[in-house]
Amino acid sequence: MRITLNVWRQKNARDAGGFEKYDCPNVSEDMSFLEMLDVVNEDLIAKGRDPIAFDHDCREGICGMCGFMISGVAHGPESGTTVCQLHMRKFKDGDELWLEPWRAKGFPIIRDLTVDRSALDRIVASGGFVSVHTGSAIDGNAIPVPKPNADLAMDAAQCIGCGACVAACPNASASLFTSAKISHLALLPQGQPERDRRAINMVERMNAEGFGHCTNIGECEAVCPKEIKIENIARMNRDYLCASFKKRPEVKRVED
Amino acid sequence: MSTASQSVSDAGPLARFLSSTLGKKTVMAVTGFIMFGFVVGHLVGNLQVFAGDGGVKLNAYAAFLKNTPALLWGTRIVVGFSLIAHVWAAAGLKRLSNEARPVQYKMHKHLQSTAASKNMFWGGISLFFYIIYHLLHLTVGVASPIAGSFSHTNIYGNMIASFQNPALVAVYVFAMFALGMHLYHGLYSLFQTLGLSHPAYMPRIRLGAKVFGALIAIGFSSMPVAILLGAVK
Repeated sequence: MRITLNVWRQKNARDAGGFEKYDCPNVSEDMSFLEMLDVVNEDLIAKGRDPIAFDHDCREGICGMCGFMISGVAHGPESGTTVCQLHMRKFKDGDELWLEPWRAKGFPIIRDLTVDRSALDRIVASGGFVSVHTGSAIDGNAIPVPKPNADLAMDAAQCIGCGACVAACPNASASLFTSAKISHLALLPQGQPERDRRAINMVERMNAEGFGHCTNIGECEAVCPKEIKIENIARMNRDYLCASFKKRPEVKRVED
Repeated sequence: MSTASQSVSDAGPLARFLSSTLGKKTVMAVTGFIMFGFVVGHLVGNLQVFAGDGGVKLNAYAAFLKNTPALLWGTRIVVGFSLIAHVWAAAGLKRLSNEARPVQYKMHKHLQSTAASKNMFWGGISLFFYIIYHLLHLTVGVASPIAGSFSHTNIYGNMIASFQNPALVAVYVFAMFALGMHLYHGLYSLFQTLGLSHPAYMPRIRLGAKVFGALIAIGFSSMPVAILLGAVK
C-alpha cells in the first residue's frame, strides 16, 4: 500500500519547525506504525538525510515511551492501542497522514516527534513515599483488600504515563494521568497513611508544571491506550477537596 | 522546590485551594449550582404569565418580591456574588488553559466530547452579555425596546410590549438555547468536579442534566414565543 506522510520536523526546542512530506510507496499492511517509520528512516539515512526522531522502547504497548498524533488523534485511530501496536492494516491505500508531537507547555519538544515528559515523573515524585513494610515478605492475606477495590486499583495502575491524555485534551490537562496515579494508591489500604498529603502535593505539582484544568469533556478517556476512566479524575477531585479542608498545619521540617 | 511553589505553601489553606485549578473548578461547580437553583425559581415564578388572567397573578408575585426585601435582596446578593465568582474562576482557568498549549495542532480531532462541553466558555460569554442586557431590559428598564414605557409595577405589561418584536424574541430564544446547552454540560460536570461520581449514577446524572437543560431552555423560550404568536395577550 502507498501512504503519504506529513511529518513535523523540528531540530530542537528553539527551532520553529514545520511539516515535511514523505511518499511511502511500499508499505506492508503487516507493519506496525513504528516499523513503517523505521523503513522511512532507513531510506532517509541511505540518502544522507536526518532520520525522523520518535520515542519508542518495548514496542509491546506496555512501556509508555511511544506516542504522537496521527491526523489529529493521539496514538492514531485504533482505540485502546499505543502507536507501536497500531498496524498499517488500519489504514487505506493512498491515505495521507499528519504526524505531530504531543503539544503542551508541560511537554517541551526535544526533536521532531519526541517530547520531554519528565513533568509527569515530577508529578509522581511529588506524591512522596508510601508507608509499606519493606522487610521480609508479609503474609499474602495479612492486609484485607476487597476484590472490587483491587480491580479498580489495577485499572488505574495500568497507566503507562505516555502522555496521550495531555495531548488530546483541549486544555492540555494532565488530570487523567495524575488521577490514575493518585487513585491506584488511594484505593488500597497501603495507600491510606499518606493519602491526603499525596493528593494535595500531586495536584499542586500538576498545576505548577503548567498543565491546564479539566473541563470534564472526556477526550483523554477516548485516546488512553490503557482505557483509564475519567471516574479517576472525580476521585482525585474528591480526595483533593477533602484533603484541602481536613488539612492541619504541619510541624515545620528543618530543611526545605 | 521553586520559590513560586514555596510561596503557595506559605499561603493560607483557602488561598492555596483557590490558587489551584481544582479549587477554581470547585468554585465554578458550587456557584453554578447556586445559579441553577435561581434559574429554576425564576422560571417557576415567571410561568405565571400563562395564568390567563391578564397578568394579575404575575404582577402580584412581582409586588410580593418587592415587598419582601430580605428575599429579593438576599437572592440578588447571593446570585450576584455567585456570578462574579463564576466569571472570576472561569477567566483564571481559561488563561491557564491558553498558556498550557502555546503551539496549536495543525489537526486535532475530537472523539467523544459533546458540542455543549466544548462551547462552555463562549456559551458562558454569550450568557454574560445576555444577562447584562436582560437586567437593563426587564429589571432596570432602561434598554430598548421599552425604555420609555417601562413600568416597575406592571411587569406583565413590560413583557407583552417587548415580545411583539420578533428580533428581540429571537435574541431571547437564542440565549435560552445557550443556557440549556451550558446547563446540560454544567449540571453533569459539577458532579464530576466535586468528585460525586459513580458508574451506577453517572448515566442518570447525564440524563438528568439533559432533561433539566432542555426544560429550562424550553420553559423560558415558551414565554416570549407565546407572546409573539399572540397566545398570551
